[in-house]
Amino acid sequence: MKNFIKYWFISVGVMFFMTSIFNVLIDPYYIFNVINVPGINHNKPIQGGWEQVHKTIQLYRMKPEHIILGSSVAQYGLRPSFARELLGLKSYNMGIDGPTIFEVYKLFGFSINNSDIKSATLSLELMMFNGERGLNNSRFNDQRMEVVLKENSLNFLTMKELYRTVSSTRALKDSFDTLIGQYRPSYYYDDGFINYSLEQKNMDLSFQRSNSAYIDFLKNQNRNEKYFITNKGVNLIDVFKDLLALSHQNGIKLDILISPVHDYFLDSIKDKNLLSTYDLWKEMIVQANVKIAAEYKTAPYRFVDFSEHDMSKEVIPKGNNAKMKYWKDAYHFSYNLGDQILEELYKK
Amino acid sequence: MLFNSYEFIFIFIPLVLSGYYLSDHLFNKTIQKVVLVTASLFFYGYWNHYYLPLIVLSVLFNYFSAIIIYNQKNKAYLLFAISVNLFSIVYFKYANFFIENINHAFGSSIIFEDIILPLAISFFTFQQISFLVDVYRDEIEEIDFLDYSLFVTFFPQLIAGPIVHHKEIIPQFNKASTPVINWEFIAIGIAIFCMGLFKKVVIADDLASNVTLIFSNIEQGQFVSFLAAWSGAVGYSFQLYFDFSGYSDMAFGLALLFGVKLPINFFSPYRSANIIIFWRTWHISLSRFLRDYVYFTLGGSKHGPVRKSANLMITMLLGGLWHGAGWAFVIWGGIHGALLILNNAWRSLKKLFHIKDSETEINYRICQLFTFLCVTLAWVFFRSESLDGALHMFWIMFGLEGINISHKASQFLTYLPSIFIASDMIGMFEPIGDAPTYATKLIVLYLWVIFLPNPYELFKLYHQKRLHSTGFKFNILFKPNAGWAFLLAVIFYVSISNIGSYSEFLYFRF
Repeated sequence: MKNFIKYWFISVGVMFFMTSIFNVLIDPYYIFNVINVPGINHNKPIQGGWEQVHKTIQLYRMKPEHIILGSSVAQYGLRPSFARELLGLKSYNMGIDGPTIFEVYKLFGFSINNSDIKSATLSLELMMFNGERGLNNSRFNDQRMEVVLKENSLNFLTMKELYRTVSSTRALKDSFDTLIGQYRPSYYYDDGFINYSLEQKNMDLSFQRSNSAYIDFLKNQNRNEKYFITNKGVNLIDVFKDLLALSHQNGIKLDILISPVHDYFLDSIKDKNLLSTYDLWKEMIVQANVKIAAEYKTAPYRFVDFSEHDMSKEVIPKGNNAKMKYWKDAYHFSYNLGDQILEELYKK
Repeated sequence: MLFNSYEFIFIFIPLVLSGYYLSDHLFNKTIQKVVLVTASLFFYGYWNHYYLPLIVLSVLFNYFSAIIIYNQKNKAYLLFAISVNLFSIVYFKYANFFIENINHAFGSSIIFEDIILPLAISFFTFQQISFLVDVYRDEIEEIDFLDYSLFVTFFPQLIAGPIVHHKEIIPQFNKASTPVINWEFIAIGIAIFCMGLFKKVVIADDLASNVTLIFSNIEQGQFVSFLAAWSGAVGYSFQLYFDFSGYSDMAFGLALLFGVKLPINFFSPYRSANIIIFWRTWHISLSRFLRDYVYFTLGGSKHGPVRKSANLMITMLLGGLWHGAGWAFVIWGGIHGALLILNNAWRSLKKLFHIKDSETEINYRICQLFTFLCVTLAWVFFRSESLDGALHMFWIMFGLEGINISHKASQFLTYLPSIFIASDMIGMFEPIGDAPTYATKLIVLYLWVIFLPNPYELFKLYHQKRLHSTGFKFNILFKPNAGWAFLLAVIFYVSISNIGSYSEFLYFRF
């Protein structure tokens, strides 16, 4: 029996060691960048889902001057390459999936600490201010965002993250998928924009599904002012004010936009009796912007509300292969609309 | 702290094991027990330290009560002590339920504070009640405070059972074993823990996403197809099975690491060919408690078939209520009570008319499948968030909202009733995303639970009253060699990679 225990520990140890070496070399999430061989590990087709690790490192590598902040809506819709054309600044898309405004604030702080940010575009959605979602969603480690990265340093990874990205069998599977999936492009472009191909099959159903998923993000038993308060009593509008103050303190030119939503989604907001909260939210954003600017004795940041954009009325086609130009689903717009938004924002 | 967490596996267990064996080596058994009680209290308090005083007070109260009962054999005091225990469980677990029903019945608006259910209160309270009764019945030879504290708080069984008797555990700690470390127990303990961890984090947690999606869609009144509703119910059946079986294996394996063999609590219940066998193999220690302390106290089967049936029904209703403060749990208990009564009646009829069971394989498998279906249907009440939700689920499962079938199949069913609706693949399984994979998983899991040996069969550990190893097809036995070590290391490695952010065991909420 002692031998059995010895074999068991040796087996676990060997697996741990071999898996770790393999994962670091293949590097499916583009964290370590030890080797980069075309046809072996150059493309990273399955790096999605680790954006809070990958994006922070990539920002550190790239050192952008302009960042786009927001959720997956920003990740899918706002192209840094186009922003760069308009602004003449090296731009990076720092959007992540389903963040709260607190997480956006922390990512903004991280970006300021680890790059030379001169300008930022902040894409806002009501979901980020839902008090019932609290300050953090479960994937987010806000302490890491306090870190100032150093050359070749991995000090921002927690032990759990290090384990997950280096030694886990899930990372091993992703390494194999990376190895055999080299014919596919990387999930992210180097500038943080998602390299997606519009999978437009049955748009009708896709709208229904995404709409109900997103409405879930907005669920809150409270309405109006109480909607923005977490169960620990933190007002998320105050967190937004902190974000504005941080921007003023660092002399960053910030542009704030309310993301466009399709009419289909707006109808759901009405159905769920959330319209007054939605309007109040926009009003509070404007007031916060004015108030913080006054505190810093400067002009408020530019604010544009795209929530009722002309393209919000694009007809949802029926049938399996019908495509849409401006929408991926009920709340993710495509870069065709994103480019128009950036153009309108920076030409005003 | 959860068994399926990195802190527990990589920090807590190595530290406690080292402390446990070193303290015996350097000091004596008393210090060894102190180490284990302290670690167990830390384990309990890690979840919510506000409830630590509750378990400590409960241990103190029951210890002193046991001393009084032991010395005086006073039935009145026994009843008083049991009442205090029941009061604490009623306060924490059922107060809101009773008040809600009073408000509903009388139109009153009594407000009661939201109380967080202290972890494991149902388990440690029942265990202590059984101890008090055992003391009164003269089944306990001696009461030692440290032994008693260890009996209640021993962390492998503290949170979700098994509900053990004092005599099953404490003599094992007091045995002057030589050599001190039982390597056989440790090897088997590691192996069974790995298997349990795999069941929980790789299988049960994986099933949870689709099950949650289907049941929450039902609650919200969103569309769920006929096939999705069935796969949701069957999926939950397996989620609960692998969750609780995983927990029970982990508890058993952990106890073995400390040289203690816990009673088996879960023994392939879905292999049962009738509901009586099911209750002998599912949550065995709870069934035993209900039988010994409720059913027998009510008179058991002594007073004729009608009284026996009534006793059975009362026991199962209380068993349902033990699982949670809600009418759905009571109904679930009632369904099982009714099934047990029917099963007993059928047995009596067979005896009366000299009907012999067909002993063919096919008959046995049909009975297994039928028992599984009955249990699965009853779980719908167990899982649904509301009674309305459960009824809605049944409505869909019995085709009363239409049955989506493929376009091809619909061509052949032209003359059938209009409940059949032609649909594409997405509509047939809405809202499940990858239906073929999910359906395949459920079939494979069914074959697993029916045909593969459980860990206790694998390690020949099932020498327990009323447990019979029958029904599995592949007679695999564990051998302590490099091959098995490697296989179990792979299982462990895959499992720890799948540990999610926070995934509580389903039985923690009972």
